[in-house]
Amino acid sequence: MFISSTPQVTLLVIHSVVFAIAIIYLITSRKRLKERILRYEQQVLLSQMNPHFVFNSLTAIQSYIFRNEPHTASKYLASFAKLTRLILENSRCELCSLEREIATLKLYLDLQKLRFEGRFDYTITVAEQIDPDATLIPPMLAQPLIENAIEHGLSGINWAGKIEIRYTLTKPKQLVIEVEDNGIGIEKSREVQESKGKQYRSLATEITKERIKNLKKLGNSGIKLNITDKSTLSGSTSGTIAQIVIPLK
Amino acid sequence: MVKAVIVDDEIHARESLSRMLNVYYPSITVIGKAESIKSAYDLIKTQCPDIVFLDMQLTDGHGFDLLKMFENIPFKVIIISAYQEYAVKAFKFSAVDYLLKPVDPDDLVKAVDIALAQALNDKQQERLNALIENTRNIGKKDKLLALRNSDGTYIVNTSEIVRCESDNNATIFYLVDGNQVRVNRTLKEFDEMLNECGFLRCHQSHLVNQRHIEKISRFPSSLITMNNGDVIPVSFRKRKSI
Repeated sequence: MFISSTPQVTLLVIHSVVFAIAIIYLITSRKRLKERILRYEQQVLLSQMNPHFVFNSLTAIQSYIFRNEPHTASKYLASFAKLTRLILENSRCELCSLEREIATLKLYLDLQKLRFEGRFDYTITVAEQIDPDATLIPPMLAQPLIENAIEHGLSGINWAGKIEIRYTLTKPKQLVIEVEDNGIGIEKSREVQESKGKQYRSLATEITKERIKNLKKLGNSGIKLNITDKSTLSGSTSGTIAQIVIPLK
Repeated sequence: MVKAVIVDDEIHARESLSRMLNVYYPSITVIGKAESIKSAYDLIKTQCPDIVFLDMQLTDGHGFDLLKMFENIPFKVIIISAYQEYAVKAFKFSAVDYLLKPVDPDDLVKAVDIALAQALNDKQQERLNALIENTRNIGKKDKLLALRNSDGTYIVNTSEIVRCESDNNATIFYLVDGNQVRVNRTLKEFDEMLNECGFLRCHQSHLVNQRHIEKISRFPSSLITMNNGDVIPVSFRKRKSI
């Protein structure tokens, strides 16, 4: 009796061990994914509150204080506070409305315009079929791309900078965000950075890519990022177009 | 009249600083502002300023690139920077004066006071070189540390420091070559800087370089013997960590 039951017991033991290992694996991989998400959320927050942007914006506000323009200084200080508040709130949500997203981007862009003394202009257009209030998207995906456009694409150009941000639908349930600038283009910008002795590494692009990778893992598999140098499209124009495709739920 | 030049790629930073100087340091005249290394170099060559306020990130390169263009820097340098932790550490190690943006008016006055009080031969060149060297070697254990006191400035490699001892609010450095240097800064400040260089705070008044420890005895009392023969007490609280 005892001897004959041994193979079954062994089998049972093997089964339960395999089962336990599988469970442990599942738990740890989930835990790892959660850790990754947490980490990227922090990175997103950090990328939006890029120290260079934060401290230079505050310096710009300080300059208005010393120019004795308290109204302008207060306006920008309030914008800075509003932006900070929105970013802090957004960092806790997986999705936010397009309306809120655009409000955040406007504050960000206006502060950047202040920093760069209006050396660029921007437009934000939303296609008619889109209801900004009802459309939910992962917050601030486009922001690092806009930052790239301003800090790398448009800085140092001697013509009027322009950034166009467009929200369109290519399919009924597919939102496309485009950030287009008329700057020097991503290829040239890379060369400039490398000539300065820096290894070209755009933190903004890396964070966006990482974030998209994680969003894919979380089930939004159709999300995509394309970055195109405009000189590859036609010889006469320069600039960069960054495009994010988001399938809506 | 003290002549100053401001080098920064952000227009508001130039504007803000020049107006602040106007308010808080009227004896300083801002004779020019530049946004790039090239224009800054030309400006400095023609105008010979006494002080240059230098931002680290410029449109055509790094602030250090400007400094490297001068064989001997004939002006005082005050570095301005948006916050970056590693950079701030490097400034502290090299005892180079720096201001963080947005600039605190009190810090500005203090930095300018110090810069004007120093003689130009106060090893500024060496300190700036040490800064550049330290910035290049971020993450390495050995760094160059500028020790400043009323006698002058000594630049030592952290590996050449055997130990530090607090003396009221000052710190005495005991060097490998037997020399001692007294610096008017607290041991706590140096502890914060040097713990990443392999230094150990074994006692309220003592900071030792672990690479120069000869032996550790635990009985009857905990003591550390350094390789120069100095014997250092270990405080009761630190015993476990040694």
